[in-house]
Amino acid sequence: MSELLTIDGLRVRYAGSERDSISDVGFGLQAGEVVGVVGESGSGKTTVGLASLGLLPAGATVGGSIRFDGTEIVGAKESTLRPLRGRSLSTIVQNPATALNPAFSIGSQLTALLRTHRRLSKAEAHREAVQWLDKVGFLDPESRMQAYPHQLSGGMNQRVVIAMALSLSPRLVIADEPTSALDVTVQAAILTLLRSLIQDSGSSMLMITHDLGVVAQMCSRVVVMNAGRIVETGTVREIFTTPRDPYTRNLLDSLPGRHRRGAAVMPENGVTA
Amino acid sequence: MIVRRLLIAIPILFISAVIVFAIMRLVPGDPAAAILGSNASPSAIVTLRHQLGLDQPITTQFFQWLGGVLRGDFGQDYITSQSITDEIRTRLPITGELAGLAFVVAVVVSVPLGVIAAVRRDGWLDRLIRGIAVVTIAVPDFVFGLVGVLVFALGLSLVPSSGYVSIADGGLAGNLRSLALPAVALALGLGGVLVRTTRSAMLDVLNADYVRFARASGFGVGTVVFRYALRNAAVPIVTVLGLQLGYLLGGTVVVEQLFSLPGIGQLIVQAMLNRNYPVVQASVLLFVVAFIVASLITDLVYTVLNPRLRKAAS
Amino acid sequence: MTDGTMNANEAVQAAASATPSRNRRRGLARRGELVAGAVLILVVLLIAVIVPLLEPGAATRIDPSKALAAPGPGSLLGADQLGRDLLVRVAVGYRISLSISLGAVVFAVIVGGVLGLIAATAPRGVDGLIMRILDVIMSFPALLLAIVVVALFGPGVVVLLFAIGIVYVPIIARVMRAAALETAHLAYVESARARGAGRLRILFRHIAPNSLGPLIVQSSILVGLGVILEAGLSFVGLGVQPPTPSLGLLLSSGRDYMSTSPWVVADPAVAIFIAVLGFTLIGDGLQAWLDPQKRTIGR
Repeated sequence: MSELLTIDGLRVRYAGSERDSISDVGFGLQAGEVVGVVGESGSGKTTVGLASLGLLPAGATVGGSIRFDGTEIVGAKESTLRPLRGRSLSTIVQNPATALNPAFSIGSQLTALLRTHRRLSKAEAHREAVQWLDKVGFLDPESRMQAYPHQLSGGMNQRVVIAMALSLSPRLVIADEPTSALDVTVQAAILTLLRSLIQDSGSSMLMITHDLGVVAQMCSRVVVMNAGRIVETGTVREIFTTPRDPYTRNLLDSLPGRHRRGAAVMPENGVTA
Repeated sequence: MIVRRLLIAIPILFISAVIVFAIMRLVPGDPAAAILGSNASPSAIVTLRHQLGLDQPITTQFFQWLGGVLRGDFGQDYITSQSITDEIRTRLPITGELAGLAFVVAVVVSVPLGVIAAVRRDGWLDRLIRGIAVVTIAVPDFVFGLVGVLVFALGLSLVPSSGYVSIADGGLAGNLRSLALPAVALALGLGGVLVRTTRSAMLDVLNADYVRFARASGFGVGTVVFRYALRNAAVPIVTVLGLQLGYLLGGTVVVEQLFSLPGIGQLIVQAMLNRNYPVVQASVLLFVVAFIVASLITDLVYTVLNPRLRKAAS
Repeated sequence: MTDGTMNANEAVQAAASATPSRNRRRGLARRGELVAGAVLILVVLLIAVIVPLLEPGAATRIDPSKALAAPGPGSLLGADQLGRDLLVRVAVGYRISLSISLGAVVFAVIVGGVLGLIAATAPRGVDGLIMRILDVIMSFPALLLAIVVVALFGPGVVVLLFAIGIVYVPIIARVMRAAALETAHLAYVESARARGAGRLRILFRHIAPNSLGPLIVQSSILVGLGVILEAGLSFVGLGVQPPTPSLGLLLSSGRDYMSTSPWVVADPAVAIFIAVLGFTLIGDGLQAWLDPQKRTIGR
């Protein structure tokens, strides 16, 4: 199975900055895998996500290579990237309330997305959108189509974002801290939803997070980042049981209850492959 | 929310009416004497005062006047003794057309320019647009008008240098030609402010998360900018438009004078110069009403644009 | 490496990400605005102050032999239809305009500033009342309000000053109140109050200085606006009365000779333009410097 996403020697420096934000980052992701990119804030993990989408701010210099499904992302023109975005390569963001346009109903945003990438009539798009709202857990999805983002809770908004990210059956979903902005009680539900949808669709996912608990629940392999560099990679089981790098060990130690409940925070079966 | 605004508008209108009326009555001098001239006999003055109802207590006068206004009767012109209402009726459409044209021209030209300036921030186009905007803000409309007359009317003979041509007289083309220069002059000041507001509102919006998310979802630049971003930027733009309406209305006064357009603005000026106070009273009140109505409409548009202000539907 | 050229898409990106170095560059550019505006106003002030001193009385000296003289040596800006030298008339016109505008702003700052401070530090009822009244005044279009005041007291320089000043009072009051409210909540004000400092003392030592920024920016915008208002009112005959020269009057009287002797109209027009542009640029520049959060009300 050839890799879906191959990052090699990635280097990013933001405009006006003296140092590289990330340097010499490289790892691969197979089709159907869920790979976690873990690190504290400032470790550069979000930059990796942005770079993979070709959405770094203007003025940022990028070196190295990111190959997604055969296409080179680094240095690619907008015309190459646009057909990919939203469709084969989608994203779930940290703050759903601000990701959704406050002036439009969630239904119209969802249908607009569908119709941008596929030839659907208004009615067809509407139907699919309703189906997706149902799939992500809305009760009475038909009537919720007219709801505005400010009328929904953070969790509900995130479900909409997930629907938007998955509705076009992407090959790779880049999720950047999808639950950090949500209530703890809602986080688990969202993660469970995400996991089942990913499994059903067979999409791959790049899970960017600072929370090792999330990694344990969702990922099969992990990339640990610190200060712009990769410090360790491995399967989740490896990382959790036999961390090699001291930074990784620090991260693990900071997990609540690790020492007490030991195995309880161990990954379960993880996701496929 | 609209209901609340309406309710507030009523006392404001009433207070404005009181203020306008009181001010006219406070002006020194006896209107009857002024009308009849200095050679009039005292008894003639008294008779006229009685005719005009000026010998009644002031509150009665006020309510009589107000009652008339509500019925659409603004009273009599001191000088011509014609019905003010008739005068207003002929002049109002002209001012309305002028202001309307100016508004449309300003919005249609300025908003796209502001959007372009925002999207091409700090580029040469942005700087050019901003520079032009500053210039149009700095020059008063009548100065533009004069320069415009010099260039387009006297120089190139594209439009008449003054005067109003109604649709009945000159057809739509003649009518628009006579209003073109005045409308553009009026629009320029408004336009400059609009360009700057649009640009700054768009810059704020383009920074927002949902714009980035839309791009990440694969929407094209055109859609993102014009449909998604502009829709949100429209809110502060409409707010500023509402604030500038007063400027637009006030500007008609000077522009009409400059171009000899027989509208309400010109009426006010002439009436003021002639001490024709009931006319001033009526026209100022009219302007205030127009402004308040326009503000209400702005609020209405505001709630349409900003779903957060509507009563939750679901 | 990413491509250096910008297309529309990248421009959208660029607009969405202001980086520190960009901010620095913009800061410098804004100083340019301030400097340009200051230069213009300096020119205006020079003309206004010096020229009439050089030729006292020339503004109203009628000299039919020089009627409609074109600009040239001896008569830098030309002469009007009565032979009066335009440079001197413009200079005196500047004096009048500036006096009125500055006077109006000073008046508004005193009255409006006090009102704003009172509203900010007073109990809610008083605050609400004051602001409601000011709202009603603000709901009159500026020019109309000025016209109403002129209707009451007749046209003239002093009346104009107060008329424009009254238009400005609610604007300044708002700005002052907003700035004062912001400052009043700052920690060190609270601690001053806790230490028993009297209200007036707090007002002057802490709140007032912090409100200065937006106030200055607003004032410069309003001075520029005042020049326009005065010119407009004088133009239609409701402002400064002849024979006192006013830029607006110069425009209206020059109108009839515009086609043959354009300088009669061009001179005051350019004069107005330079002055207002200068004040607007200063206002913009000051705003970027003193009040980046845009707490002022633009034109």
